Amino acid sequence: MQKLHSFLYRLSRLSVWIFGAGYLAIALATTADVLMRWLFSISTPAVYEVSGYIFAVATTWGFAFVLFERAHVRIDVVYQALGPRLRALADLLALLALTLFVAVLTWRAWLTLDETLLFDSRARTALQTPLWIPQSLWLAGLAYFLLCLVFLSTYVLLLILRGRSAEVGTIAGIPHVAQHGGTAPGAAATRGGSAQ
Amino acid sequence: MKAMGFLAGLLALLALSLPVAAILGDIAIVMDQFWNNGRLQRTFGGFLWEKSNQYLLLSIPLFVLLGEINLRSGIAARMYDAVAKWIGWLPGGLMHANIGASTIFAATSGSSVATSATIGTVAYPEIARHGYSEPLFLGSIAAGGTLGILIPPSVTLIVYGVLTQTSVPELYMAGIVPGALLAALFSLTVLGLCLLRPGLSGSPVRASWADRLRALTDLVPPMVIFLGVIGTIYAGIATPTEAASIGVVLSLILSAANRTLNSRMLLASFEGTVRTTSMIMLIILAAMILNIVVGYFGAIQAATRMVGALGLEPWQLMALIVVFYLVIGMFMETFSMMLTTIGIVFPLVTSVGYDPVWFGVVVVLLMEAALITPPIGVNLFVVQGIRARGAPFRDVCIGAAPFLAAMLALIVLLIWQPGLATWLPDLFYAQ
Amino acid sequence: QESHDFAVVGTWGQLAHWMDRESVFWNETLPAASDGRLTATARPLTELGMDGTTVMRELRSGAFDFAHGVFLYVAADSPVIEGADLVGVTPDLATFRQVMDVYRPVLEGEFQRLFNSHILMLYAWPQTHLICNFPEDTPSEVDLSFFEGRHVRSFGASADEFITNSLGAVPVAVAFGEVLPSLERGALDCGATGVLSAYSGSWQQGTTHDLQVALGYTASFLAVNNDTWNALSDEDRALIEEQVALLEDQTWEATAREDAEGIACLSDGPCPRGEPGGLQQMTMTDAGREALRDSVETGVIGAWATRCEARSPGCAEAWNETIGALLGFEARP
Ligand code: NA
Ligand code: NA
Repeated sequence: MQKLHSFLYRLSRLSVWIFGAGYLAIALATTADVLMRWLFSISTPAVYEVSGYIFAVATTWGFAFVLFERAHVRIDVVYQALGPRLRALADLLALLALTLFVAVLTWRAWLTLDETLLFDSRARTALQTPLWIPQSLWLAGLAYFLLCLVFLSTYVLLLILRGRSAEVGTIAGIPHVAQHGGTAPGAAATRGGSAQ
Repeated sequence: MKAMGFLAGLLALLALSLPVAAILGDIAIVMDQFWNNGRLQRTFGGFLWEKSNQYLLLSIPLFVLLGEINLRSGIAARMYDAVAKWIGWLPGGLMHANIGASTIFAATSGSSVATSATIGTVAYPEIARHGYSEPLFLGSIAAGGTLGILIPPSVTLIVYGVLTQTSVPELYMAGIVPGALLAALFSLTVLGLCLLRPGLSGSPVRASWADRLRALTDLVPPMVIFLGVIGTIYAGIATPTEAASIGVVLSLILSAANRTLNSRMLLASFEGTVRTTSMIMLIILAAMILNIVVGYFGAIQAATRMVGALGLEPWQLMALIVVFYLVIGMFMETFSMMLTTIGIVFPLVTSVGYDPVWFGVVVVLLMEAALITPPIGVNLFVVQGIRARGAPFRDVCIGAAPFLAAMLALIVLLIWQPGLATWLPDLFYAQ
Repeated sequence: QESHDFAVVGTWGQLAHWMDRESVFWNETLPAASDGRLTATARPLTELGMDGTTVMRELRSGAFDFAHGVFLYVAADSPVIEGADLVGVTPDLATFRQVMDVYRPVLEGEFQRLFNSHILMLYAWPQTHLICNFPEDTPSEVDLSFFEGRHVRSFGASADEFITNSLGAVPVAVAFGEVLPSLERGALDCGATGVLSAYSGSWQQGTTHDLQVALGYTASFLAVNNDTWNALSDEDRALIEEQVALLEDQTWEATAREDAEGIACLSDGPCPRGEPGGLQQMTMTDAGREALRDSVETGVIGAWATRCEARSPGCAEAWNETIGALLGFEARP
């Protein structure tokens, strides 16, 4: 289980490197387009369209990385007062609640792709991008997130059943609390930077 | 009654420490399943796609990336030192530098969390070195960081502009004077407290005039980014969303000039950017999905009717709104807060004659307050996250309280003198 | 007699079509006409936070029983539907109603074939104009070449085609919320929108000229999901059809009124909705109009026909037999 955990974690990190580079590419292409438009009245609306697709795909692939980094925001007001066993249960419950939501989303996103294939939907732009291409990648990110959620829920459940609740915190707990031995509250909001 | 039950359920789920996004999404699914046979769920897939490639939200990852690069390229640390040399002699010492550096950084960054994380990382080691009272020092970082969304550029103002069809450049203009005022009020707060209780003040920073003049060159990079982002908007070269891209490219160039640009630094920036963006996007998407269900059940019309029936004077309505946001701001993340409420609140406010641009500034101030009110104050968490392990969270909350008072004072001032926000955009956009 | 409570999604909550007619129809007219048996939970797009691009999918899946939708917005899912409202094809509103009438069977076929739904009514919005920010000394009558190299906001494939090939201008992608600020600051020279929504969105504050050429009429529909429709009794279906026919006439009359009002409000009035906007009305020379018409046929219509034939073979012919015959255009892929 531990090996699979680190494999899925590393795969999500790899996707983050790829899509982080995608964000950088968006910035470079947009800046180039602004300059070309300003200086030579040449514009490439396709830059905007493709940027939107990269953004959508990068977002869903990032979800799994956020999961392994334990950075999906949770409120720890009550959590910090719990003992290790109850905390492990709270962590399991948190995973299951997220799994329910993401399962519904993934199912609905799949139906959307299915309709896109049926209608042969194309973007309403000059590029006429067949929408199944970006939508497949976008759906794959969601499906990968769902897979990781199911795996992590199972892993945590097994740990609890084997009486190893204390280990749950390091893979599914709220970071500050888990690391600080319970004295320091704070949600798992940040490291580095965030956008509120 | 239904609304009370809804709120109680929300709080109970929050207390269970479920992920915020899961709570919003699951509530939407359950409500739809039980009261509507799950029909609205058929809209979720198409809706999710339509929203997740929306060009305007793209400014979120771009501003986060900009902040990540500035932090890792050393631009932020040099700028902090320069500011400290200029204003660190005041009673309160580096706490003024925290606020001053946050103000300057805010002018390059669209995000409050990026601002306090950056300044906090740079400033935290100074507490021990200069013997500061920890709570107030931490509070000045948490509060200073909130300026990130009031002083342009600002992701929050972009989202407000999109949701309410208000001009983003006008909103940016409107944020400048209140932003500078709030920074001054923060500094006055530090000054006043340190004069009252000299024990709070650490050892002041001493710098010669030669030092200070030399340090000015370290303020050039943030200035370049600010001019690149804001200047291109007002010169008619770029739209507000495009301007975020220009900021990223400028920070890359500056980082290369600093010889700090390398692949390790870029990969770390990518990780930080995706972590923050995806975390926030899941909450935003869940809040939008909940909004479909809540909107379908007519909550928006009901709330409008209810408040309309109260027959309040405009100022009473505004007071009610301020109290309402302060209370929910204690518990909610700012994006979800704005997304779930603005559709109800904005039409009410404009229907009694308040200016949309002015209200945008008030809303941002209320979001800033939410960032530093416990139990859920994202900026408080950021600062707590930077500290040594085991230190009590209480310190940060207590330290931020005086700055919260300064924010409330500014809100009252804005209600009394709306011109503080509207004067600059009116000057610039006079018909 | 059975009672029904329909789920309905409308257009934009802050605009006149919803406020004055769609919401009134679902909340008052239909319940009254059916003695309270046929009611609806009807919400505008804006209250649900939706954009209107997925309406065909919502009709098909039955998320809503009835839906009001805009053709241009759902063009991604069907080029046949897009063909109802190509940029620069229809000269005036009266002709546009005829266009809708002749094309209706083609549209109904598409709604049945792909989207499991039935069209109840077709309607339009006030005409779409280019609203521009030009220097004071711009002549009031211009040629087609005047637009060469100008920055015009793009809004879809057919508009891009029009901007690039008919006007010789540069299409710029700008989110709707950023159009007005971009016009004010000069990042855009022209934006296109309905004349009345331009006025209510205060576009006159950042612009100087209103080009008097109708680019389109924002063709819209009201349709019903087949499963819902088939489950109704014959009497109920007849009742709804009868009431919708009244709504359709009302709506076309209102559009004609608002069309004239929007143009007047943007210039020197009279304007019953507030201060006149003071924009200069700009027209195109006869030669310019002629050239525009030719370029639309080879550019906008031709490009659409190519797009459409690739996905729905036979659609160009269907268009030629209906809209083409009426207006004297030919769609050649
Ligand atoms: Na800012
Ligand atoms: Na708070």
